[in-house]
Amino acid sequence: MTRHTRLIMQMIYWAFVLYLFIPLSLMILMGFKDSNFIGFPIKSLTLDWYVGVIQDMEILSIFGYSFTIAISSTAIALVIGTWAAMLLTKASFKGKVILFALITLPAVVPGIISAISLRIYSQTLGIDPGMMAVILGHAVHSVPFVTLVSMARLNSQPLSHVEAAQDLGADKLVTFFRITLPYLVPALIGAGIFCMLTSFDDFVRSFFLGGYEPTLPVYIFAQLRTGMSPEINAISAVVLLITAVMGLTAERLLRRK
Amino acid sequence: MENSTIKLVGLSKHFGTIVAVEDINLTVQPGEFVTLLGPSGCGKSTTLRMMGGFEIPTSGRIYLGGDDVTDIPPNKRNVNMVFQDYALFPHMTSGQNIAFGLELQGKTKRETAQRVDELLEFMQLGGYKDRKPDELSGGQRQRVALARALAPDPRVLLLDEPLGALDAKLRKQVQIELKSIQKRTGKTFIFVTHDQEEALTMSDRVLVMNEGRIEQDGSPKDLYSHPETRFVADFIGETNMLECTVSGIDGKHVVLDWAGTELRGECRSAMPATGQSVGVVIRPENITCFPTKPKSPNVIKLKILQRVFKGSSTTFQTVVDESKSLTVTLDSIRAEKISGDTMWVHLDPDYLSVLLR
Repeated sequence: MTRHTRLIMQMIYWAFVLYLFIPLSLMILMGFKDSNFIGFPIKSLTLDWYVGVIQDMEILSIFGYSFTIAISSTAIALVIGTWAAMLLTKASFKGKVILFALITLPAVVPGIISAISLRIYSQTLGIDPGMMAVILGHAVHSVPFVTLVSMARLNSQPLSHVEAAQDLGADKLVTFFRITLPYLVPALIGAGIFCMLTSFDDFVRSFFLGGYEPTLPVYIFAQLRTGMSPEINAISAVVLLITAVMGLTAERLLRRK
Repeated sequence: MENSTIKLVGLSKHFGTIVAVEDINLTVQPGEFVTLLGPSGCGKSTTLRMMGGFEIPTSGRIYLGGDDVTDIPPNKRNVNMVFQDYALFPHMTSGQNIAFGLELQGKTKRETAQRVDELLEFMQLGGYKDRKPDELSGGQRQRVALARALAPDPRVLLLDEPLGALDAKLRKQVQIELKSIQKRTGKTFIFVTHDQEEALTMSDRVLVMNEGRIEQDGSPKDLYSHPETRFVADFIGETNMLECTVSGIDGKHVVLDWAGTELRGECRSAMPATGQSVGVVIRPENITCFPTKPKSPNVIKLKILQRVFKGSSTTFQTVVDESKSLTVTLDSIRAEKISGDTMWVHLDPDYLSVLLR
């Protein structure tokens, strides 16, 4: 590679980084603007919008609501996903391929289609739009990720670990809880954080399945329709911070084995 | 039979049309160190796994101290296994690994802790109780695996090539350690390996397996000096294989015709028929050598093609004539006395084993 091409490659790389981060930086910057309107010029800076967000009980409760949904749907997905992964890797039965296809399908179905069908289905079941419906909807979407990640991890578990546990007197249940589950933990932490972020971020399913109480993305969307204000930027910046910290923590936890 | 620790009767295992193990019969006495030796795919591991309960035999029975355990799952069978990769639980410390089986036996915390400390001490792992497996060396891991398997006090300890992952130098040391641990605990060990040296060094008794069957069952010395089949002769150590025709029986010896040279050999199994083609083996170091012709039968004159100095011993590549060659190994001190390009050798009939198979 000549010096010129290397220079050009580096410039393309940095241009890409700028392209990624300029919108985010602008969003954060606008959250500090001392004015009711988003846009340049910025005459003076203020922390008022952030203070406003932290003191706004409505926004805090929406944060809490989204958070509850994220945690609950992730918990459900972790249990079902691990269960499915165990079934798909350890057991042999007829129709295994079909079960695998069905479990992973929600990951590839377009959000809007799955949202509408879940809405119809949950009403058939008698679940009213609201928190429960959203939690279940998010869980359905998260299960494939937990299943796939767990399956990959399970496939790397040496068979001898399971055999050694049985050899020492453990039945299947004890083997699962004392040997296999601890082995799965790093994968489950990673998958769990990913599912929480996906749930936190989800708009379509939350919009279709939600009741009167909005999740954070639905709330932000509603706010946008009545006009942009730097408060939205402040909220978004806070979300960005939380998700970035969570994502990086997950990454570190996973790398530490 | 009540005295035997483990007994296999007509044990077979087929995987589809593939025969992994065929009609194995074996009775192991308490405190014996028995090795199943054979090349990969000979069925030795499958046999061991059936004893552990990890494979269900296609036919045959397994008895443990007189009880039929053929259908008992591994977690209810009083045997423990040391796995090839040790299979230490990576999220547990050495101590927790060793305690695992004891806890499942329902031992109290105090009993468990006491036994764990005892075993750590016994295995010279005193300071390593709180280390995770990935903080231990290969040899230490191997000892933790051994301690974990010994902890529940099994009737029989099964070892599936546990030295395979160690480097050559450490392996020699661990062989001696393992043998001494077996002696001190008085446990019955059933050991699986493809390494003949390992088998000969440690075992009281070796079963050479090939294609799912037992070729020979005997002490290491027996196997080495008196192999019963071509496979055993070939698999264990270096050997001379002489293709002979039986020309008659003379008392306890078999008279053989080695392409024109008359030899006498011994046959441990049924006597062969006259005219039968047989393989005759003799170890290179069991051949005695003289600079001039001695006065005894079974003496041949050899032409030396090459001599290879190997430190304490010297190996000669020799021929009798163009169709017959022999490898002879001598102490280097004796070898020095052989000068010129010929020598006389005596093939002791007691070491010249006639093989019918």
